[in-house]
Amino acid sequence: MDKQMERQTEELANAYLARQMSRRTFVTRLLALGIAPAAVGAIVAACSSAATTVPSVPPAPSSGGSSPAASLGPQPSPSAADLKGNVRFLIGPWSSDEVAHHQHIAQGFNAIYPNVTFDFRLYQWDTASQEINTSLTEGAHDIYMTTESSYPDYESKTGFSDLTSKITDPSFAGELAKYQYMDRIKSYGPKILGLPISFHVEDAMFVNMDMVQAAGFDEHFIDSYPTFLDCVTKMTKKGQTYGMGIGIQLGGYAEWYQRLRAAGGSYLTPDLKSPNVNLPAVVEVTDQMASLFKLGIAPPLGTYTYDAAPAAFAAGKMAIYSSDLASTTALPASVPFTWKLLPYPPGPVSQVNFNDLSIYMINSKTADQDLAWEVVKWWTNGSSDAYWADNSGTYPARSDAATLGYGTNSAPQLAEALPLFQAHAVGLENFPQWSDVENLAEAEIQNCYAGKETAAQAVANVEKIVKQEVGI
Amino acid sequence: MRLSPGQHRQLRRQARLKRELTAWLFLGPMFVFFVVFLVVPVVGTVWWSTQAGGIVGGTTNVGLQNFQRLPDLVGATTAIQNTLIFALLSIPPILIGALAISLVLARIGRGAAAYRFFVYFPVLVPGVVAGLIWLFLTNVDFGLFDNVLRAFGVQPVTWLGSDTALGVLAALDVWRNVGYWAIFFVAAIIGLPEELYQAANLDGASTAKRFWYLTLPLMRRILFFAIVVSTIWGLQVFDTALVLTNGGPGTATTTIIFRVWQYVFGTNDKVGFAAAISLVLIAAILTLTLTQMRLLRSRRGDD
Amino acid sequence: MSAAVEPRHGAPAALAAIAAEHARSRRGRRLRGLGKHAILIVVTLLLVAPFYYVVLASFKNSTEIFTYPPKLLPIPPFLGNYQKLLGSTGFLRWMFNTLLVAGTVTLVKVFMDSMAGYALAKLQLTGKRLIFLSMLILLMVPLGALIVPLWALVNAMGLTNTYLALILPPLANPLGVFLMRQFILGLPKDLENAARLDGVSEFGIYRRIILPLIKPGLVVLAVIIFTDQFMSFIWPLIATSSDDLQVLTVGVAALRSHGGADYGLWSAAAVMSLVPIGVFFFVLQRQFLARSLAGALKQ
Repeated sequence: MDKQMERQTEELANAYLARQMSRRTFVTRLLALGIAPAAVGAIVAACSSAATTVPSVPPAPSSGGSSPAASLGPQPSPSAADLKGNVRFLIGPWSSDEVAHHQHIAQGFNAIYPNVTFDFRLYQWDTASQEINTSLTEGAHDIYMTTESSYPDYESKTGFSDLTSKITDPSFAGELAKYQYMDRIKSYGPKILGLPISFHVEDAMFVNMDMVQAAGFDEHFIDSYPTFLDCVTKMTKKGQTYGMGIGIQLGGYAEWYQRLRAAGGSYLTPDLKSPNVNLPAVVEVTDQMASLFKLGIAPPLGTYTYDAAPAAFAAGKMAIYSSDLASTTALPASVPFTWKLLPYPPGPVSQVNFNDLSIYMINSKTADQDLAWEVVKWWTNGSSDAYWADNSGTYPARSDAATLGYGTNSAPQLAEALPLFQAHAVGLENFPQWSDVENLAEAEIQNCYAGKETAAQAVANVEKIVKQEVGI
Repeated sequence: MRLSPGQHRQLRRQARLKRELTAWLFLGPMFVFFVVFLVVPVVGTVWWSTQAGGIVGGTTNVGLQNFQRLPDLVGATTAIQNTLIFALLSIPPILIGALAISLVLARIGRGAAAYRFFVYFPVLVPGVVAGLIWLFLTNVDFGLFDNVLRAFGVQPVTWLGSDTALGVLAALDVWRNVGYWAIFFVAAIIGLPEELYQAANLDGASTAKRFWYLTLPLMRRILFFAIVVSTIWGLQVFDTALVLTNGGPGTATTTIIFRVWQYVFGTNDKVGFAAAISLVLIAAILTLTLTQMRLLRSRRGDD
Repeated sequence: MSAAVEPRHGAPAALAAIAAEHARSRRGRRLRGLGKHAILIVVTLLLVAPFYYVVLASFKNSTEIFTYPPKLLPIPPFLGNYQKLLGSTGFLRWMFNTLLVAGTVTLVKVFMDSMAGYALAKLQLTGKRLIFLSMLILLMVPLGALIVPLWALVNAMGLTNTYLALILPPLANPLGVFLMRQFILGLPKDLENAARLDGVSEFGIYRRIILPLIKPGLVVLAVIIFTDQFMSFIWPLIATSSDDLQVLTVGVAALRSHGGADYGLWSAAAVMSLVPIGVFFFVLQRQFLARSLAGALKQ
């Protein structure tokens, strides 16, 4: 702890002891100073025991009230003794230390509410929807980290608690304003099922800039498809380096979808009544992608998996690979060249980035809904969000995360690329079967990359998939 | 004391009832589980196959629509096709390899126990672990296969690519199952009548002739059984496909059970399709079982 | 009493010994024997090589795994992968769950199957043939094809996410009944008939006469059930979603996609998963291999 931090801590402690701020606010402020949760817990414990030695003052922490710091404590919080129980999480594995990150956030929570315990279970991306669906009906977990891609489906069903009244409660308004993209969650239907923690881009290009320069280009090689093709062709060295790795993201998630949107297509027309896939421009871009395999620019499907791609990129085996941003956490600590994140589908208007939120939701079978709600609020508050997003290769959904420590641990390339991504961001289309269509469609398109189908056949099949899944 | 015919009959009925009751006490516990967790689900599959909707949210009856739409469903036919190709690629090498190993293994003296141990060991590997192990064989950068190729100066191969992944999955199955059938055949060969072989030896029959005219005909039923059972097993491949390739690349290794699992839990409201595909699989398996029972029964007379 | 039994069991063995003696006296056995050993050694090496390669990887750190040419001996061994597996994953819990579930299923099933097998083999029962045939026909229907109705059923019973969800459905498998019936049919009738004349109850006959006689069969059955249970994957994957109930196969499969490729950890998990079944196999080797005989008995 440096001098300044020490002084600020002392001021906060005095304010807390003088009942000028709630315990919750006190903890939040301490965490915001960058003090480790364990240390925060110790400080709070010390102060609390000091407070109880003053007989005339009731020992319970105040509920905020009219104290100067009330703006930080958004709404009346239950007292420490009120909250107890075990909260079971089912979360996505964003980084290899995923559980540790949540334990870190939990420590902060426990500094205020020591009687709450936590279990964290990770689902696998391969089996995520099955695991979430069965867990939900089996009542096996209380809080779920879901992705936006399945949100329209959840919206149409009953497994998750409807948090609309809690989220739209006036006392929460101040906090609510700090969640970006809340409007997108609201747009999917009448219910609001959760609070967002992060947004991320599927997929971006991880570019070895040394190789790009050696090939005689700069980062503007992505401005048109011909220059892109020229560049990746020149970077391809047979038996040594592939110019451009595609189809390595799990199941190709959202990869071709960006091409579809960039070419003016979508799974459904805006009125969601008929498919909008089989367009000449879509066939053309699909064929372009398939030709990368035929020309030997892209490694054959199955050469590098999602898990193995970062290491292969760091070893110079691929000049560019496309993946989600979580891949930044899997890159080795020191990559022996300069690299950049660039928007994935190359071309002038075409840089459409599929942008996906991660959302915390509550199982409607959970007995203690209020406890779960307190926990969700804590997990999505500014400092939790800053910490988690910073360690998982995503962007925080909270506008205040930047001032609360986001950017200390993540790859600097992320922050640098953010404006590029935001300029071209699109979300998913609002129909419950979107993620089913997406999974089946990307697999179908990969059959085309493998040379088993022509681009026209694959695109026609995707249109069939859309009809079959949506039932039109 | 003599009993009247009526009393006699009654006593007999009572004794019979008691015997029946005793028998049910023995059979009962197992029978309950058999009915609840096997008969009911098999019949239940028929019902589910006429439904549309999700496994939780409630379903509606759509009659035979699921079956009518099955041939047109992108993915369902591929899954059936992949499974059949997988069976064709894996079963002949398994059975021929197992037979060859067993011919040697059955008549070995010293070291038999050790050989049997090693030949059988891959059989005990759970599919998930087998998939994990084969990741280390097929990896492009450090896998055993490509390292062997490198040692001979050959270009490394993408083993889990679209054209080869199904073959690799079949090879994994050969590795995992050849020992099972080898030991099975060893047991069969040891059980063959020794006198016939001695007679053949006296006649001066060559090894090849003895195999072709003696061993093979004698093992006809055993071999037929092996073909049917290994086919039934081959139709169920799932866990290795999930761990090794996750059904990909594309849909190259998406098998029937894989698709069923995806339709039930991975995607929305496809539970009827999943049941319909399951029913096709169950029907195939029952047909195989019944054919085998009939054929083996009709031959029982001649040996 | 036992005199009536022993020769029947002993005879094939004696015959086999005589046959083996004859075989040993054949000409040219030495040369042919060498050829046979050569073939078997090659086969064994092919089958064992994958294991060795994974064991090797499990003792390497992440850079060593990628090094070409690969080190062929793990010296000095790197233990970090095992430390990580045992220290920071739920591996030991998964192992415990698997052993608990497989052990329970095995115990209950051996008991139930032998009783049912006895009923089908020896006792009078209307519809016995129908019951037996239906078991025979459904013998080969895999759990994987039944996940829709089975999950709906277990969920309706409120059993999902309990040990019972893992234990009960496998009890339905009729293979054991079938095997037990075959075993018991093969027993001589004199003993139980004598007992019956002496007024011993059916349960007494089952417990005091049948069970001791079919002991080898029970061991074979136990081995079959235990290994099948040890390997099962799709049902535990679906039936339970809480961490505490995770079995080995599901847990190990989950390691695969937790943030980046940790080949060292995966190899350690593969090796450690095989330890219990390997030990089990080593101890019960003879009975294990009798599994093949059991397969033959399916007919």
